[in-house]
Amino acid sequence: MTFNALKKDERVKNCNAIIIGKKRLSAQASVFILGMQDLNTFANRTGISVIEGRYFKPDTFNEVLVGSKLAKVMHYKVGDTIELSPDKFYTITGIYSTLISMLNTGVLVHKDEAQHILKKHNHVSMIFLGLYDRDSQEEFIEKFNSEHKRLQASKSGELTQNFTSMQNVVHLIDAITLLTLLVAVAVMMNTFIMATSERTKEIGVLSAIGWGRSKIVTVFVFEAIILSWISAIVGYLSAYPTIALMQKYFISLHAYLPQEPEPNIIPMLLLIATSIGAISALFPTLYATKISISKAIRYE
Amino acid sequence: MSKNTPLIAIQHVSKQYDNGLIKALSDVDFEIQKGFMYALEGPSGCGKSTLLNIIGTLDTATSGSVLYEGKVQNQLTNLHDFRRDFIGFIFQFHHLIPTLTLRENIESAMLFNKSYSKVQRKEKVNKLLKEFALSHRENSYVTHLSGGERQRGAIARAFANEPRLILADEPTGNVDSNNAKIILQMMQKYIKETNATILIATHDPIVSSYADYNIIMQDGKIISQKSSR
Repeated sequence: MTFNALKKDERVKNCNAIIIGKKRLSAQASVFILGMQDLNTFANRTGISVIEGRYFKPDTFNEVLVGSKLAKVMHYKVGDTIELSPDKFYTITGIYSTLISMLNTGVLVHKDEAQHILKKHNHVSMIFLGLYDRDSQEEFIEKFNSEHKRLQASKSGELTQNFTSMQNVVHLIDAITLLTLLVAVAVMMNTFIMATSERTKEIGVLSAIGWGRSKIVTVFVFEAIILSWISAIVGYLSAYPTIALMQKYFISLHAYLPQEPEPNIIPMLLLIATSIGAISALFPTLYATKISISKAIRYE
Repeated sequence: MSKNTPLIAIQHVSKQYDNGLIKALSDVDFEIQKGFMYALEGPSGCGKSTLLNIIGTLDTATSGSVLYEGKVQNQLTNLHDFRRDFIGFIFQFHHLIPTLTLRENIESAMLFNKSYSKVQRKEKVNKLLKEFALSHRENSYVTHLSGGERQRGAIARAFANEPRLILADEPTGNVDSNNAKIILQMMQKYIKETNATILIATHDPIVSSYADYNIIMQDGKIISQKSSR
């Protein structure tokens, strides 16, 4: 709505939209997808230069440029293909570099393709505006900001500063994610350890009725793994409404949030859940099977 | 093994805790024959439960030994399998597993017993549920059972593998007199059908009256043994 309204504004000479979002390539690696309508405008504003290969053609939708940092880490070369959405491959036509370090871990692609890759149709993150009267930009910005409380207009000279803020937000979100993960792991482990310890009496009874140590350990660890898997799946599914709510109420975070949870993290999620479940159940169960059965049965 | 070999021979068993500060059992020596009900009597703290735990291989003696049909404990190849096949435990507090149904609790004792196929296991559980008048409660969880039902379920679990020795620690301690009588009659029936032996730690006079032999304990020692046959 805003984009179309701006295009029709009589003070606006040209209007170029950009979409930025994070895309997970695998369980371990994620990249910034930078989708733009007009590559030259964006390259001029951000100081992007192609250091190897060439720019992608404006009318091609299956070509991309990759940032120098990303190319180095992922060993991408010009001519390689990269899968950015299921079963859709893009040819790398060049490698770019810019002084804005965050952008060097990105993939540059046409705006429409980026919207498709990020599953954010009819959504843009930034709009570059060219005004007929350059002297009126201060007035334009002031009016725009007062009329659109949830959006922010600034001069193109402040773009680098905006990207630096963006980079800081990304680092902050990553740190919060890591911290949340650590807290979740600690809580899960503590819960499992407590739950298994409380079942010492049960383990004693099973030993008394003839269950061997290996059988008890196998059953308890297996049970803990199944419970961890259920928790992981519930956690994954609850990410759908959480992301939807965050997108609705924290519009400034829109660029950093995926449209929906990435399915390719599921194997990693199950692996982490398996490890937590197995480790937390293994040690209390081993302990309970090692103490005297008569003591285990009396355990409170 | 000769024909006269006792089922269990307890030979000079002593048990001490805290480096000898607490003497739970002192030189306990007696034999348990096949096909009888024994009542191990005495006041609380006299060592009845400790003795049952040692006989049941749940605990070890400080000195002395327990012979099972002439074999000492370290001659038994697999203690878990031995406990499963040879001994059935009945505790004062039923100790059924709360996360399992009554049927699953009874079946849990037979789960790794290769003598039973899955179908045989099911049939056996059905038979036990019927005998203990618990068929209507088979899918109930422990928390939904009455005290008497819980204890009858625990006894059904102890009988599941048809062990030759049942060790019962105050099995009627938490049930009313009606349920106590049912439990004791079921025990007598079990002995008659399987020629097994039941050793009950108790201070309930009703239990004593059902026993073939009464062993009286005091301060960790056996002070008298009498037959009421």
